[in-house]
Amino acid sequence: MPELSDEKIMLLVKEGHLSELTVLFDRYHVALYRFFFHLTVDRAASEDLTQNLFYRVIRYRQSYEPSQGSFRSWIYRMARNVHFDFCKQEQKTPGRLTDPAETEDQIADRLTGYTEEQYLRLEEVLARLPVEQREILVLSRYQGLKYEEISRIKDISVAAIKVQVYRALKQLRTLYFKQQ
Amino acid sequence: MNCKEVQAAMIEYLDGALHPPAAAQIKAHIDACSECRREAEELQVLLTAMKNNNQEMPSPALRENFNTMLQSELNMEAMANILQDRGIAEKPRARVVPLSKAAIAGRVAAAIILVAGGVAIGMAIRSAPDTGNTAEIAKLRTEVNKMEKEMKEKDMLSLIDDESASQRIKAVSYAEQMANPDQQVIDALFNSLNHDKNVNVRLAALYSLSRFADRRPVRDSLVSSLGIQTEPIIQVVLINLLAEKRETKAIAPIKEIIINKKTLKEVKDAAQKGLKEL
Ligand SMILES: [Zn+2]
Repeated sequence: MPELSDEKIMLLVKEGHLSELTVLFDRYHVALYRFFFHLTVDRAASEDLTQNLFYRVIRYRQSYEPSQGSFRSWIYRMARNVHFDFCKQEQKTPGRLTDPAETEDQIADRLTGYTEEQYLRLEEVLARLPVEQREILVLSRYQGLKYEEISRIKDISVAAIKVQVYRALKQLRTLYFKQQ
Repeated sequence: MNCKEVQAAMIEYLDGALHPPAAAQIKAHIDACSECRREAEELQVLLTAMKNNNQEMPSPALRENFNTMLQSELNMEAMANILQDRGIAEKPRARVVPLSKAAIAGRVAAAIILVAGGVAIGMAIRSAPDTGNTAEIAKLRTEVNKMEKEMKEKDMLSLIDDESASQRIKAVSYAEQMANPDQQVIDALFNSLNHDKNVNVRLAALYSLSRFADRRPVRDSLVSSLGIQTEPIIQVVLINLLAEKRETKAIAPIKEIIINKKTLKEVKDAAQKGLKEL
């Protein structure tokens, strides 16, 4: 039996077949967990946010309209909101999730279990970027979303996304290779 | 091409997203310009690392929590359906699949069967309305037939203590298919109804027991159970069942539920309605 598309499954959920959401959970929860993780560098919070996100999917399932774009852009839009609310709730500096005063050692502590030095360092450096830049890199690079998709998620033009990615990468490069 | 132009197109070049002639121009510049070459190399390191960094995994708790949340949502929907059907709730809490004229317990069972994630429950299938999800139903039906052949009473009694909730649901649901279960099976079902920690197992046990509710000892135990249940959906299903059976012994525990401060308003409404029928 051919696999149903995300959109068809979400329509079933919207019609009341709530248990079908398990399929979408299977398809998306790891990616969305990582989305939150790269933004927060906090494993427990990222699991909570992922859970919270799927709760919102249930709550707001009536607002899902396949004619307005893919399921993926719909759920990522919601994921951004969940993260935004988290920042507000935590009363963290809006532009920067991790405390600017946090040392590299402290960030490294939150990343125990990272065996690859390179990934660890990347995560530390990423945490030092402003949240907008971090988010655009997570979406376009870690998550591998297409510029068109990010454009629909963030509701800005593809050209503007390209500029943002370029600037964020430049900044990341400066920080990453600064002390090496 | 100058350095500025090259750097502006660098990411698309590294992504392999440029047309071959444009890519060739950039490559020629990079080969000749050490500054741009360094930028290309360093960016490539970052892009590759971000693309390949797939180490981070959520703990198994994430899935467990998701399943629990989904179960409780389904239970709430099932209760909303029951209340709506009994004319108690004014409006449905949310738009749910219309469940035609299936028996009330059948609706609950339909909720359980979905929760159990494909675990077959015979009762739900027989009374499940056509939700359009016929492939799923057919699959479950096959599983049930298989299950019926495989499972013996003693298997049911051992499975009823299984660690996995879906296995326990299977066990208590299997009892519903027995033509004449002995006292040991009935006791096991009541034990599940009154003590299982998973609400879906309790519901499934209740549904199985409801088939034998015309037996006096079963009826009496159901009345006793009403006095100890605190989960709203179980209370509502039990009240409905006993009211349907015109069980006058249920009047006292139903009154208790009504005066109990902790009882949910929806349950009180169902209790009032049940009381009128008695
Ligand atoms: Zn150059």
